[in-house]
Amino acid sequence: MEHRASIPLTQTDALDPKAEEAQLVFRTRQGDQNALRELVTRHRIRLIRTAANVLRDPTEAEDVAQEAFLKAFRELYRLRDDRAFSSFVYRICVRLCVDRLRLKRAEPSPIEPREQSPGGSIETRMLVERLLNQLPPDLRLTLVLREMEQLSYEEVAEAMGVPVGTVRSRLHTARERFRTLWTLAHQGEE
Amino acid sequence: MTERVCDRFRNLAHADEADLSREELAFLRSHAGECGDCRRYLTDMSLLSDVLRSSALDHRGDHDFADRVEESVVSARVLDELNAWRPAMIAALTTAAAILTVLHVLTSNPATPSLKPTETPTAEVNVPLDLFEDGGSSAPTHPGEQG
Repeated sequence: MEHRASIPLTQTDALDPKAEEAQLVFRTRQGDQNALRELVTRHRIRLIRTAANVLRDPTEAEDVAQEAFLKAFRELYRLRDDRAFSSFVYRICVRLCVDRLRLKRAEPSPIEPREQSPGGSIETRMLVERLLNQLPPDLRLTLVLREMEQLSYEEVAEAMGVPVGTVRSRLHTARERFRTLWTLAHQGEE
Repeated sequence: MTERVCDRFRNLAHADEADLSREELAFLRSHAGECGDCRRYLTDMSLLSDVLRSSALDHRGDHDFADRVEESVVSARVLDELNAWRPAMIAALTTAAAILTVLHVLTSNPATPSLKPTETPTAEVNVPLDLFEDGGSSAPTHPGEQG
């Protein structure tokens, strides 16, 4: 307790990432390009990674992440709490991913094998990709956010803008369907 | 009955372990011990969870990603838009303040000529003296107070 009290105020402020984030958002609002860049640098990995896992396409993931940042900065006036920029931009990115998935489902295209990064066999990854493509966008997104991105139920609910109960039931359905598809795929191989 | 127990098991199996009560966790453990189908279900789910986790891509984007975002923000004039509200807001506030001042001046000094103090009308009430018993020396009483 004494130790905390001895820390200068400016130092404690610097340790609070939310306060720092609010500062960056404030400066971006003033037109500070360096602050904008810092916000992009802070959140880009999370956004690109999630978009890549949802869309299963690294190039498209970068496009979506870029679009999400652009939209977030353009709609910065809608952000009530500057400390919440992280979830604000993440929500936008997730919504853009769902939009892309819906478009893809409307115009089905043949799945082309892509270059895979290390980790997990290529066959398994391609099968997972194929099975995920067969799930409706909302179920696919819930499954990816929970299983691949390892988000908590609350975090998934916040990112998707739905109640936790909806996440629970969607996850149940998504896992069941994925299991059925997985079993069918393996039966087909035999 | 067994189906219902298995349904309950499968529902609980999808819940976050942290959300489960001690009783529910105990139920999961005991039912998995006695029902082969549910045990297989749990194994399948755990396997699929592992498969999904290991299939996660760890793409972090190109090094020039921040540059590209910055470029797109600049070319879309987003920063200008962000800044544009300030002069616009200042102009709007100044105009509003001017309108309010004019309105205030108009209402506090109306254009209709005001009455001069000397022209202040005085009400003259002619009260007949015979209404008062004492010939008008005492104050008149309210009609309701009489009698």
